Amino acid sequence: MVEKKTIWGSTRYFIRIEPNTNLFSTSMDGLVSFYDTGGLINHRECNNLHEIVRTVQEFWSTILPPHETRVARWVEEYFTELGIQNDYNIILRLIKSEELIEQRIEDLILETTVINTAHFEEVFETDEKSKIIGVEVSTTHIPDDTYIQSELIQKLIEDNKYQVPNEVKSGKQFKLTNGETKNIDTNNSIDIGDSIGDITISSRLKNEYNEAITDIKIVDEIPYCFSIDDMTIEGIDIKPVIKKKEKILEIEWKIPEITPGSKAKIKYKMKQKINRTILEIIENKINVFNTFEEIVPSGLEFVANTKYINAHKKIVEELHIMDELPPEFDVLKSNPEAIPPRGIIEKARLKGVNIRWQQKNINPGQILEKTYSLDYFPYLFRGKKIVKDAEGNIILKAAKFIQPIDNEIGYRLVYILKCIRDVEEIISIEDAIPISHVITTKDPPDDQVMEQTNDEGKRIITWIANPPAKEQEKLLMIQISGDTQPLFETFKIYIGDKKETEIIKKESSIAREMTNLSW
Amino acid sequence: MLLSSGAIVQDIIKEAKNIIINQSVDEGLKYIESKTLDLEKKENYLESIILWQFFAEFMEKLDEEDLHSYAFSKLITRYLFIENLEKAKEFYDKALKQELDSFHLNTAKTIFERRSKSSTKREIIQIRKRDIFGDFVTILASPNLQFDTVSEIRKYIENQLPEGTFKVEMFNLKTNTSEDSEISTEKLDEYEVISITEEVRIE
Repeated sequence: MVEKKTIWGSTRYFIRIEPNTNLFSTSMDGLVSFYDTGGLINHRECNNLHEIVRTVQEFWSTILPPHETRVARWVEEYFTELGIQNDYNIILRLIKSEELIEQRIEDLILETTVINTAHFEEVFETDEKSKIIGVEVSTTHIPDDTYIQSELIQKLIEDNKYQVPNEVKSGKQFKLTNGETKNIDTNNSIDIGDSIGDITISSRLKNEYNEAITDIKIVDEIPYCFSIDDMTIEGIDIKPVIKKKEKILEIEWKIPEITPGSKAKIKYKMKQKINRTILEIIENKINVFNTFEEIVPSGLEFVANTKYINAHKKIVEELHIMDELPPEFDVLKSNPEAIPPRGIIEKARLKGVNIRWQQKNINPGQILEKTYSLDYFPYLFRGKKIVKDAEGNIILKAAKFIQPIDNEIGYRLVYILKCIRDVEEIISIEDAIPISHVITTKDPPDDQVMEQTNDEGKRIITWIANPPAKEQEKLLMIQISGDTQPLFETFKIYIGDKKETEIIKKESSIAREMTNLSW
Repeated sequence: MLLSSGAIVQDIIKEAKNIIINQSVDEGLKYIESKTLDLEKKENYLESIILWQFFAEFMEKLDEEDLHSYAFSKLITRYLFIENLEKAKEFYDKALKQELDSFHLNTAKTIFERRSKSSTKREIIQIRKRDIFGDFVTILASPNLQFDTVSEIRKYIENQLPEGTFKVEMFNLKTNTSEDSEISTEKLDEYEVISITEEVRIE
């Protein structure tokens, strides 16, 4: 928790700034709270540094005449105490709001044009399923004012970074017996996979007609930020045609026929890559590129080897790189070490990790390599079931949590039951773990847990529980030892001899959350 | 020739009117802010108050409620600067009567309430606690509990309830409006949460 700090010249008023990132920039956001000795007076969520410093100034000016330089010094000292490298002059300029920075930057940008990146892909040795996306930004001039220049660079990086979508497009085309061609466009959601870091997309086409449909073409758009580990179509042995498009990889499946009522089911298993944004300044021209860097397992951790080459015939006067890690990863170390101002590891609360680099005067052909050792960001799997009866009334809520255990090979499984109304029958929760994983302890130790192996080679564990009283919770904690990842699957639930007959609704998401895990 | 402070203020008001009429109210606000800042740096608070009073009245005439309430926040805090609680109360009461509401005015009102020990009674309507499933569930809270300020409600939550993350719904008896606040008294850590929620039918 960040400490609150007395307003200079006052003994009873305090301000606390809780920035969401450790990177000082005009886009840093956070919470500013104002207190007196009696407690909180007011607080404001600020979207950028300008709002943060202006809010401090506004709080300050409610109890003392505001002196911009004193407020700026106070903010500078506050950030320094938080270990955030900052700039007094920028803070002062923002407090004074001397100029409309945003408008000035907009006025600097003349035009953005897409550039052909074939040459860069060849030099960077980009693999056949990936691409380099590039734009050239022409400006009136590169500003001499380092502050304005830095803001321009940040804006161009933010505006042109590759956006990770929540869903992807899928186009379907087929023929009916009368020769008519039908087209259907859908959006497929990007779902979580079996394990942390795994992502799946399912693309389906069901024949809703009373006749066979023929000459079927299914075209799925896969964003370049994903590497495809596997793609299959159920029950048919065909290979898709892969085409590199401007912003996505196009996967085209041709299926001869689907009989009435049958489905074509395509499944993609993928992993997210590092989204790299490269900004080069060469003689008043700015190029921005998106490249995508694979993350590969290395022992118990992961590693990403990245490479930049000056593929131009001229010196790149200034180079800025932003590596956006997939949200499930945290950086353990980088080589070379990220030491400000040349390299900064930016950790933004509830957002993830970016690693930023800057360098001047890179010669033609010069190679810059960065290697990152990565591990998973502390994660939590939460599978929740709301169990309803035939009339739609809620009977109980059940949840399963997977929580890694620090400094140990294994994880904790926690199952929770809460009856919303009286239940008399025994409740069973059936779950699966990899066959090589074993239960080491359970709490309460006397609770009944059965183990068996199923046909898929998974170890099935079943918790047989007496139902808790209405509105009471019952909890089972199991410690699992295993050197591979747990299975991120939900469980099955039984009440007496009644079992699940229908999934009424299903939602999945991956997001950072502030949570408490004291079970 | 040196102008008297009264003449300086009159000149500023004239120029501010000119800017508001010929340019915009926002430009007028910027002008007033820069002038009052200069005056306050020289500890000329009364002159600053006159300017904010002019601005408040002008904004009221123009139906610019946000700026009107902003000017009131300045008036309340400026009267507090010069320890004139009576005048601060006058504007505090006017703000309540006119149902003015803004971020700045709420800050000023709370400072005034703490300084003058006056209060706006708030009654807790509902407290919901985040349960182990991540859902907010209503807990029992006495309907008769009344508090002067939000920070007293926070103290009540911290001292009287077990650790947790709460959503508190309050009713402000003076303004007849309901207010929400999220208060956490437990240690929270950041996790990458992979979440699957299913509603299932069992038969």
